[in-house]
Amino acid sequence: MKKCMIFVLAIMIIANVSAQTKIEDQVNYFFAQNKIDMVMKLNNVSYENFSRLQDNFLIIEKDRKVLSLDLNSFKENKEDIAEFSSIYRPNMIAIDLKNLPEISFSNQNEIIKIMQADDGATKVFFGKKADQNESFPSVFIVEHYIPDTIVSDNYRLNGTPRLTAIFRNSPKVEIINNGLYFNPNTFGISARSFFSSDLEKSQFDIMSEDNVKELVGFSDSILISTSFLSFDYFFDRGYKTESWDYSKEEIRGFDVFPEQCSKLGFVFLPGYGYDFIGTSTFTKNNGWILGIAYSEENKFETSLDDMKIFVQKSYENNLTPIVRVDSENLDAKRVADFINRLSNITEGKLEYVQLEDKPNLEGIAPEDYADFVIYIKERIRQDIKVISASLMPGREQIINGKILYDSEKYISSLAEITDFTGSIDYLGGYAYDLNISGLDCITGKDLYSGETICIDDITSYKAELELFKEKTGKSFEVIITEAGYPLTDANLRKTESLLQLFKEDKNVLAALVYSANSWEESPDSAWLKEDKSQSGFMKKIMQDICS
Amino acid sequence: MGRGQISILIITGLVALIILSFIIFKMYYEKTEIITSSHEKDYSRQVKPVTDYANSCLDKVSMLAMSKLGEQGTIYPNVYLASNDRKISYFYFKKKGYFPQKITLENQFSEYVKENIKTCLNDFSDTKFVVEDVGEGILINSKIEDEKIVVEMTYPLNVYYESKIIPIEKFSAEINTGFSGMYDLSEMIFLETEKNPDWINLGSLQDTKYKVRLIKVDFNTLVYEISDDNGLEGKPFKYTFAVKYEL
Repeated sequence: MKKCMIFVLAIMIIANVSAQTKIEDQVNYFFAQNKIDMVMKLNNVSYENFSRLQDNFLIIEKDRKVLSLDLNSFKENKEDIAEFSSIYRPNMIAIDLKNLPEISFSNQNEIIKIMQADDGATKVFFGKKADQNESFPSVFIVEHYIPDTIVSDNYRLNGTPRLTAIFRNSPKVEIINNGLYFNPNTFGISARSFFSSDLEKSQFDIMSEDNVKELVGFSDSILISTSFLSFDYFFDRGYKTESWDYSKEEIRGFDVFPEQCSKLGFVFLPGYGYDFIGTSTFTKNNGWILGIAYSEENKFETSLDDMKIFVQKSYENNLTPIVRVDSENLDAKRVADFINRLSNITEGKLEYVQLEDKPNLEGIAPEDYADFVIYIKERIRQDIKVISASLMPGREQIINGKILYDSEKYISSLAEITDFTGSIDYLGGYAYDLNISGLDCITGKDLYSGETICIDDITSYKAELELFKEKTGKSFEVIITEAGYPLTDANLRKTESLLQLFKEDKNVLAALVYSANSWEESPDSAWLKEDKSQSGFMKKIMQDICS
Repeated sequence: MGRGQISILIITGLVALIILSFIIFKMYYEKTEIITSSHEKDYSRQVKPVTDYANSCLDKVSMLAMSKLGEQGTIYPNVYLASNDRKISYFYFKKKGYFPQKITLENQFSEYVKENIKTCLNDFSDTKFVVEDVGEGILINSKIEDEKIVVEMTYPLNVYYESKIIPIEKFSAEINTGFSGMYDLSEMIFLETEKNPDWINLGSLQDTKYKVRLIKVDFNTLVYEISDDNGLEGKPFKYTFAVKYEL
């Protein structure tokens, strides 16, 4: 790379219409007092252009022809001064120096030259007054330059364009570069623009009277530092700067704030008893608890008794019970009967029921499931909230002659059935989805294929909500009826992150962890211990996100 | 001798007795104090290794507390961004400010030192002295000053030395740090954010000597890193905190 390539430029001025001397003041402020002698080498140009401030005009001389820029009106009289409104802001104009390899300013017996290295690389931008009645902002923006001296800053070594903005008494000026929106009046960057901007390799200088605030952009951050104005030939921008030894550190995490975990709860498997106090402790009261009932003939009465106690005890412990009713062969009549009887014997305390679980995995066609739900909804107390069955994410397969339905197609079919969408109050959802990327992976068993897969992508419930909104025009809330991963230290952060996400997601009414008591079926996923003590995993979660 | 004279004599005697008692008491008291003071002076040199050891531990643990404070914004965050290995305090979160008062940080600093000092002291087993904890507990007082943090520890101990018991209890450490200035800057950033939660105000960064890095965490969360190359005992120090903007 050629060492002595060139360089820079810059300037702009604007002053108050009513006080044209301010134009000079501003130039003085930037240059004169700092004894500048920025005579830069020119790459391939053998002549000079001189400019000066005369009255209210910036005079630029080139080949003995005089270009002038009326600083009051900004009416350019030469084609060298081009409108850049399409690229930048409508209220910005720019001088493109493609035909002006060098311009100079004469000020207080000093000549200040600005040159460019490559045609079109250097532009001098001028802020334009926002309104006829407002003052001209004093904004100075200098883009580009290739250093004249050897610098260790890789950005400049590579000739990366740099934006310099000088603000002073500048009301209502918007400067947009790399998606960043500055407000020079408040010296601020719009937070929205900051988060959406492409910061990679961007550099900005914001100058005030006695210092320069340097902004160096990296892919996900901006580093801001202060340099005091100290014009020096040996530095490529006319003031002292530094090169950054920047080691990238990515910060990722999740929010923890003092809020009770009242959105959370546990799923209890039937037959092992319930730990209401443990659940209440975990959720800091007002949490959720899900019990599973069976409506088939041989289990009906036992399950009814079980659920009666479950609902009553839940209320006694300030928990909201959800009763999931599983049926055999989609016997809607029996399920409706079960719900009505349970509602009666619990004196109306039954508020939430979920109808079935993973019907797409059971070979139940979506239309049949929809009919099942519609039938039941019509025959139960109308203030009982119906939660649709959570679907198991996966692709369509036929195993042993049974169709395993694609979950996306399944939910899409259900969303098309108006009576169905009118019959449910909440969508049931899972926290699992296939993590196709396989990154940062928590594994689980694919109930379709039996293979070990990554299950920690949690976007499925969001996609289902979006789909339902699109199809019905109505925003549904979701109740996650199975969340949580095996209780290993490696999964701790991921689990915390997951639960925290549910706490914050306003579309999630509740998220229940699977499971509280799967001591036999899945012991590494059981959050509560048989002796009613808390697992260390659970304690840590409570401490981190429920404190 | 008349009754009146006897009475006067008795009163005079009583007055003399009281005065004498007072003088004896005062003499005794002053003598004891001098002796105690003198002993302390004599033996403080002998038990200096113990004092130095405790002071160095106080210094070490205070440096750890500074490190924690720098990484997290507060030592014991309440509202925070849980990252891999630390909890970065939110100073502004969901339209509410959680900026820590200086006294809060001082108290947290003291608490941290109190929690960790005994591990460092390790029952003074690294010294050649037998040191007994009197059992009155440890009191830590931390003060954030302009260019340093002063940490004072009151920890009543008995040091056994040549068949004597020498009580010691006061220890201290001073951490040279420009933390106070970084804290002031963070307060400015917080106040500006509170005023305009959708703007990142560079004005508050305008006249500082620090480098400030704004790190995107997610769509509306920034982590601020205020750096001073000589911020902690002449070495680099970063003060970190998070802000969630309202977009």
